[in-house]
Amino acid sequence: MEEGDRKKIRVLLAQTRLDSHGVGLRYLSRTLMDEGMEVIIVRYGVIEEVAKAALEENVDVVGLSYYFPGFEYEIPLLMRLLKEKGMDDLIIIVGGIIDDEEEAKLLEWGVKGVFTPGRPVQDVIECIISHVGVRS
Amino acid sequence: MFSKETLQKDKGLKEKWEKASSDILTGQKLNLRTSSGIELKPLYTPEDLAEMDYYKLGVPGEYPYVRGNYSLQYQINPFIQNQFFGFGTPSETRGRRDWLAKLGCSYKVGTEEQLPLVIAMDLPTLKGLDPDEPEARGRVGHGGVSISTIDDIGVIMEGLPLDKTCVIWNAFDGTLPIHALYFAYALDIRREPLERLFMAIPNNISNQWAHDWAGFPHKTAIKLEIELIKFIIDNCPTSLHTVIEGYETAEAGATPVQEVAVMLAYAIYLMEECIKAGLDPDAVAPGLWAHHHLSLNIFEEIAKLRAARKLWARIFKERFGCNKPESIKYKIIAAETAGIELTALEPLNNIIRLTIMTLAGILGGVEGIFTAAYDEALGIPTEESAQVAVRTQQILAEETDLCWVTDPLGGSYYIEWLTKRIEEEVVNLLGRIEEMGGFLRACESGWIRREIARSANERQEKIKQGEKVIIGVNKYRIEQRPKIKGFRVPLEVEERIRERLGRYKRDRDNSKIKSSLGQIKEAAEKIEKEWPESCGSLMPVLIEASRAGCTLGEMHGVLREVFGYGFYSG
Repeated sequence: MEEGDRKKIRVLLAQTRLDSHGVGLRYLSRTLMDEGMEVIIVRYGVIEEVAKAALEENVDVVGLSYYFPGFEYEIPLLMRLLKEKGMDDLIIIVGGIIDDEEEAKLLEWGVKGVFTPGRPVQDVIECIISHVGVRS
Repeated sequence: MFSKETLQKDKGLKEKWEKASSDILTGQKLNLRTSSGIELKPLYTPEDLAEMDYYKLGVPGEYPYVRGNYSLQYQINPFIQNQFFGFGTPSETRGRRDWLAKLGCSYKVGTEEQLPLVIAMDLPTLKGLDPDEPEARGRVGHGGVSISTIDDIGVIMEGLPLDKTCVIWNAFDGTLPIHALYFAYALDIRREPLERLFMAIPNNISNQWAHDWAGFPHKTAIKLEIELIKFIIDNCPTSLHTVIEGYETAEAGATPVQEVAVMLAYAIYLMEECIKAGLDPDAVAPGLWAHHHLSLNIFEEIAKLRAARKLWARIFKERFGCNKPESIKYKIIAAETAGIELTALEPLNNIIRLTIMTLAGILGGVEGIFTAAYDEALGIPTEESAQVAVRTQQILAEETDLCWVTDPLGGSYYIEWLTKRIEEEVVNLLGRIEEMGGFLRACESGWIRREIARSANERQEKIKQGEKVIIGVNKYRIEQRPKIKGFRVPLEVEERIRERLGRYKRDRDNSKIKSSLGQIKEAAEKIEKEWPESCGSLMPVLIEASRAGCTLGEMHGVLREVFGYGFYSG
């Protein structure tokens, strides 16, 4: 496929507005844009807002940043909401302070990639392209 | 600083050295730069200090305090060993408090040793939300303790002498209501007058400006800070009322030069606004204290801390006409080891990194140091990792010769040169901010955030390219590793915390809540519309509301409703 023909990959990056640890998210957003993707950043109050934004922006990827275990509550709920809206084909990736047990749990739930401090940003790009690239 | 004869001899020696080193380099360039971008030479000699006047450097305890604030410092009072703690319920936090006390984590008050209390709160508490609000779901008790009532404060403070326990409620946006709850606890439960309280108050409501955080609008945040400052000056004479925040800015990506420049720009803005509100600079300045970042570049950090003390002294003496020594001494109560230098991979290596960063603080002559735990990139500390952090501070303070001589690097050609260079760079950047119209304008336009974000991205890029080495992460990385397990608060704790709040709300006298919150609204509207005449009207009603049983979230909710709340810095 020619580079120009390919639909741009759309990525929604989301973080609760309670959290200030935004360096990783900002850096990732820049890197993804440099890769030719479209990036929308959402700072949300409740996770329902992320599901709504994903639908409205018609994104391929939702990336969430977690400083602490908010994901235990939010990820299953987000997946259910996306499914209800018929958007269960988009992929979810998660980054932040996550240990091995939690990573295993997230992957089991269907999260496609978990990125902890020290993981190269290239891994995120590869994860997105390997899942979304196939679809477009 | 040196005689003509010495400089002449130095020239001869330097030429010899230059010849020898150029033979080694054979045309190669070394390209040495500090993280602030200051170009370095591989060697410093008297020539680099030729312009420096020894008398202007002074001695420790004398203006401009570049060599330290005290004639004798660690020899008499070792640095304050701060440990940031709190998780789950107040009772669990109380358990950690007892553990730290048992380990001897302390600082000296007079002749007594006391545990400093630096309370970490969960994200909802920091943003003024009660645990039963929708936005708090999934985040209650994680990363810090959940506090919403006077009872919660009571569990944490029980049994401690309030006049000797320096407590830091690090509450960001929740600052005013959290302190109101603490004052209500002191008055009603402990029967202590407020003048006996001993606090180092962050009062960092405008902190979100420097990074990606929701908060009150700029003009409101500064008013709320001044409201608390006035209250503390009038009621709690032994407490420090406001932090000059640099750590958070540096964690968001600021270089050491940007860190100091933003701190000073903020301090100038705060002072100007205090003066407009009718406060005396010599009453405000002694209550200011600094929170700095300590990275692995120890020489740059040491020079940064020395330069910051000097610039502060000059600004407060010359610009604000302060006369009291306490006004012009820059008190670094909290120099904190950098979170961004710590790794999630091979976490035990962080013990070495934390030791080096703590060392930078000691050599920089700060008043107090926060040493993090080695598992910070995985979660909040376990008892074991907190113990290693306390022991790191104790070993450095008591097993080594670090505390015998004040400013041991003073007079080093390199350190004095670098202190001077950082001072120059900070003055330049501060000048640019002032040209823009000062701190508020630089924030509102998003300039400060953009500059910091640019530095953060540059740092990430250097890590990606391997230019900034992180052992075990981007160099000498191995794939096999033991399973990483972070310390976590069990998820059911959130339910317990919500139930506890539910019981509190049922059991309190609910007849006064509505009218108390109404009074807060009235006072907040006055702050909004009749500033600065209304300065001093909000804290008393927040304290009365706390005494009547209002919660953090109820009080903060009124403030958000009146002032607005969101992202205001680009």
